[in-house]
Amino acid sequence: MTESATPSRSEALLEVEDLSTHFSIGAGRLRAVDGVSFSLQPGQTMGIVGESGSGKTVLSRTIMRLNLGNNVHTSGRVRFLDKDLLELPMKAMTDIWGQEIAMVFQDPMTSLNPVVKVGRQVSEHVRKHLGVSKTEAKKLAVELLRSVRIPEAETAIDRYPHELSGGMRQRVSIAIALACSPKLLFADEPTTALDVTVQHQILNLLGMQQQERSMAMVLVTHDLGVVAGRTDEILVMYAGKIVEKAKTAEIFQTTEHPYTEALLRSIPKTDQPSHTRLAAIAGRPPTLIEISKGCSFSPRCPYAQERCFEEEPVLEETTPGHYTACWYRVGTPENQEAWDKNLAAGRLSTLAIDQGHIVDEVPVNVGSGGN
Amino acid sequence: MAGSGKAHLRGREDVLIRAEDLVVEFPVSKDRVVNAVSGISLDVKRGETLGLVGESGCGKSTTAKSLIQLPPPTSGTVNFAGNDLTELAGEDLRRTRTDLQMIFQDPISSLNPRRKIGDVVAEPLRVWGPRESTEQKELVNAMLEAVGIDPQIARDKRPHEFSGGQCQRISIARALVLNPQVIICDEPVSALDVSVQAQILNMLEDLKADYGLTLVFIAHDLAVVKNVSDRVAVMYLGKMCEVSESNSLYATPAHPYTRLLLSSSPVPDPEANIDVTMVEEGDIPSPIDPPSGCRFRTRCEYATERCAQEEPVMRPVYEDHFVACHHPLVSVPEPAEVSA
Repeated sequence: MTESATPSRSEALLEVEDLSTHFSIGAGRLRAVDGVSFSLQPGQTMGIVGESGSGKTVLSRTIMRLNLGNNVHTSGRVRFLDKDLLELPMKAMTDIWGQEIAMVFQDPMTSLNPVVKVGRQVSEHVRKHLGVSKTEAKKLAVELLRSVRIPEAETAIDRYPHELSGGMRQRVSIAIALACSPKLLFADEPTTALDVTVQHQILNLLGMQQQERSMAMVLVTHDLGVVAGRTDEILVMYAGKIVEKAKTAEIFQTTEHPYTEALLRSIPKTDQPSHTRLAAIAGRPPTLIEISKGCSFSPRCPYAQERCFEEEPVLEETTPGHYTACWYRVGTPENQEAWDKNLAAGRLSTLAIDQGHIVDEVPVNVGSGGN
Repeated sequence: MAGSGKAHLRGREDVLIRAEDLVVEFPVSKDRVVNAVSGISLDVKRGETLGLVGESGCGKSTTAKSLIQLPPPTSGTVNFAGNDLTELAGEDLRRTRTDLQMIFQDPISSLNPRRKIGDVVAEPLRVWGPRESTEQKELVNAMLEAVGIDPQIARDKRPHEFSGGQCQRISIARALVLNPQVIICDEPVSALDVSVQAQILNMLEDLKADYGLTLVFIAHDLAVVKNVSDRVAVMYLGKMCEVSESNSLYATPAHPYTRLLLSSSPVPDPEANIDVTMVEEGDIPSPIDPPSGCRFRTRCEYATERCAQEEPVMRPVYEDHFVACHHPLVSVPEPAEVSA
């Protein structure tokens, strides 16, 4: 979790290069993930943040190769240690799942099998991948449940998922994911369905297990509050692309992309007085089907100028380690100029941030996809 | 209180809703009941927003639903504008209830997928509203406009053609169309993205001012509750823990449970010091067999023998700030706990 623990770039655990996932659907080609590149060092924690439909879940599922079907078009490269995951036969992938890369899903009720006792669900993995005997697997299952702080683990293994609370179920899915000591864990909105107190416990549990096992983790969430203080680096995704990438502290202190800024400002905070007007982002994410010219955030951006609608900004390194795709970065004089100009012109999305109005565009007929 | 008492209730003349000693029990077998709500008393002034917070299963939704008699509480009274709703039945109850409307958590499933938006919003008017269809249409248009939906485009579309945030705004329009006095919002933004959440919260504040509404706002996100509420009530396992004017509650939480909630809520601040080794075991106790005395004692670090024997009673700690706890935290008021 600490920055000093990050080893040098050369020994990346996971390297994603120009990864794209498109789906052919009735209305056209849906660009769920579009040219994403990043790398992850062993033991590092990365947060992927974005609204529903920004492609964050599809990105993690693509890396795991869980997107099946004839309508999926994947391109790019995913290097995990010395393997190219996208090139591996599916049979080889099954050895990677659980043993090398594991995943914790959002809804523990649907990710666990409702008719199998939790003990067997945990030991199943151990038996398949490590080839241990039944009694030994059972012992391991109890140990694993204990390590995720499930009280009375000996009796808990004989329970069915419906007999456990949401928080306990999520602990079971974490135990399953950790069973074979993977090197990388994807946690896809692991706490979205849970209460704040349980969320706090589960996030702490993930952090603790990660430290103990020196495992790398990708934490996918829509909540910037969840990734703050718990990750080394953050990727902000919008419309299938990375719009900003930086060290966690950097992204909060010197936010550069208007989307990241807008996300941060729209969160209500407990240290603001009651009835504080929130800065709402106008409109909603694009449908990802029609290819628009220019920056995909421009219709909702309070700073957008003519250039933003014409030319797409590329992800550039602005300061060492901080990448942003924007023509008018937050904090620059050009950005201030753009704001003043838009405010004077009465641009609706600028007013939305300034005064908290609702700005809505015409409803679109196609679902917004994603989670 | 996780305790009982009514010290936090205000004078009868000022309040629009006053519920006393609400008890809601659901039978699960021959001689066992789920004690969903066990003696909650609360009041809401006209034009005020009361926030109800607590973990899942603490009875906050059940409390709010028993206010509008859906279902009626097992015992207790609900006084609304001079009438005791628990005494009303049939036509009288249904007519009174038009003044109390509700919006729900999942905006998409709370709208009938097979009906057009115009009809969904007009439905309450068909039961209670003006008989003239042109008048109905005008009212529907006005309400859709008030929630930022263009009626010309939306009227003939169906719910699936809208995003979650838009669907929530449509359900708000439906709740408003009978010009109610009170709206009960049951986790209205929990299913929405932060950007959309901000739009809905701002809109609720505007509508409250424009239509003179009184709100009961249920949520598990403390920051959201603080943003909209004038007064906040913290619930735990069917009991009330703390009731306070909202700024005071967050600055100086007096109940250990409130502090636990506050310290658990994620803060968008990378400097926040998170000790990942703090992982509690255990779970919230079952409401079928709740702990004796103070119901929070099994998770409370300050719990003593007294907490098991004696149920704490609501008592004032500051002005308009009440707590039901034998060992309140206010002798050491530490606002810094908020971000801990």
